[in-house]
Amino acid sequence: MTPEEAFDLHHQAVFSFVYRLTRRADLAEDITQDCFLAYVRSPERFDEGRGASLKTYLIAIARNLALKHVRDYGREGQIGDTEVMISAESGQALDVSTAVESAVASLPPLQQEALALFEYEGFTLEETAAMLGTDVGTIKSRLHRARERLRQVLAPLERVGGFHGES
Amino acid sequence: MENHERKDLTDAELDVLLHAWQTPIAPARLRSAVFPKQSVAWYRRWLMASIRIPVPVAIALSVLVVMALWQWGSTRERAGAESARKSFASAPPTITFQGFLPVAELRPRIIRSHHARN
Repeated sequence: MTPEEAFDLHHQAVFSFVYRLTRRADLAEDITQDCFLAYVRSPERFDEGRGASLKTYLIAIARNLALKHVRDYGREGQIGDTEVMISAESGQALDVSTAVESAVASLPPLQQEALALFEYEGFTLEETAAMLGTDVGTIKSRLHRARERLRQVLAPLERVGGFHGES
Repeated sequence: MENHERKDLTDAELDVLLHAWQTPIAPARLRSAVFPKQSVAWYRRWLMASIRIPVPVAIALSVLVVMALWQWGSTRERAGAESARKSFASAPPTITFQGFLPVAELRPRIIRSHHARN
């Protein structure tokens, strides 16, 4: 696979992943660019024989770059670390996508990472654990806690959306 | 009275909601940032251009070129030899009297012919 083909196939996934971690389109763009430049300059660093897919390799690079950015510049400009309150009344006017984004941003970073990889990028528990350098049990635990939190935070939104009683 | 009963979402409902979060589309300029189109002068592009041909075709072409060169070389050699021969034949003989000395003593010898004896 040529670098151009790899870019066409995976750049949106890398961009989305970084966006879900940082919630900044400009940063997602920069990191996706750096990620692919690193791959284009040294494609031999990706060793297919190790069993990991190219997507896993690229996402791992993007994650490292995102973490480096957070280390260097902090988490400025993010929605995260804010308490999200979605009331039934405000829910009607609230865009569902924005509400979910805010809810996910309220999770601890480790839970956000696990959620982004497992729920949104479709990696398996094993792949997610390998990428995050931990074991499957820890990933399961993080995902469970994340989902429990989101279940509570997003409940009012769904009630307005019509799942829970319209009386 | 508050009629909103606190009820958590089911897994299916949560999944639907989670996937309602749409991320922006990656900008198109990202591609040109990763793979910049270099403005190279036409002659440099021409000098650096390469073509890909299958090995059998390359071998066949090489054989044809070698045969053509050999044919051309032998024709040229023949033509050269022919023209040299022609020029040698048509060239007027050059006779000089350099080193020519008159005979010091003449010794004439008469050879009779066979008919003269009878």
